[in-house]
Amino acid sequence: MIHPKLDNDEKMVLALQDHWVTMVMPTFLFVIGLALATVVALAAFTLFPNDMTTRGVLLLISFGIGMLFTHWMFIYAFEHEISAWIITTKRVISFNFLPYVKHDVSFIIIKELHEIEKRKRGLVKNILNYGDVEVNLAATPTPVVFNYVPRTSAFCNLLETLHKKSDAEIDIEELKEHYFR
Amino acid sequence: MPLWIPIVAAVMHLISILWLWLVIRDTRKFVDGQLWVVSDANAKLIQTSGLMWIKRLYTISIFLWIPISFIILYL
Repeated sequence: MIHPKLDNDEKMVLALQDHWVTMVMPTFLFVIGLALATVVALAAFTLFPNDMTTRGVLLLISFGIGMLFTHWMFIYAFEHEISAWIITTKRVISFNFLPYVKHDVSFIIIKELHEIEKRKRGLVKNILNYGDVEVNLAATPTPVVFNYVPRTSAFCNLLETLHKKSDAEIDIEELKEHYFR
Repeated sequence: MPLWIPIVAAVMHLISILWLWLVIRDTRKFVDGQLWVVSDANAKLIQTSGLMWIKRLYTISIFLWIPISFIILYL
């Protein structure tokens, strides 16, 4: 079982969330869903002005679609808000959450980092400055992948700096400033 | 309009509110478990301020469906 409680000499450097681009698709589909619900409701009124039962059934379907998409969009909003990486002076703690689906907490020890690979392919990723970071650990054969990392280069630099420097040499404020520069 | 239609609408809203409550409960459980992990004030702030807003907006939008749907049904 994982107990990633911070050690006494361990300090938090940054808390990062996935890039906001992860919310674009749910928002877009939410708008489509609401539009679909509106179309069904309008169809109910225009096609069945006198048949109250059919109109009622179509309106129920329309409300169902609207409510489903509302729930769906907010569930992804929760996922975006809670799924985060907490970077401390010793570890990267990863929280991955989706209500009733994912309750993942994992961490990697920064001193065990073997290789860091930054992947930022495509026009959108380069314009919006996000990408994937693949981390190879000395102890494990499979790499750990962080997806949708904002400011990918700064993230890699931060991990490298924390990997190279000893606890006494780490200046948290300087690291934060460098990341958000 | 037949009576069963507003009844079905009311049941749909009840299920919707129940799901809202379950999601918020599950989220709170996870966040409470997460915050003891990182006791730093910054982490708390980051993890809770946006979350409060999402929770409020979610609740408002789900409850807004109730008057909207009944007004449309009886138009």
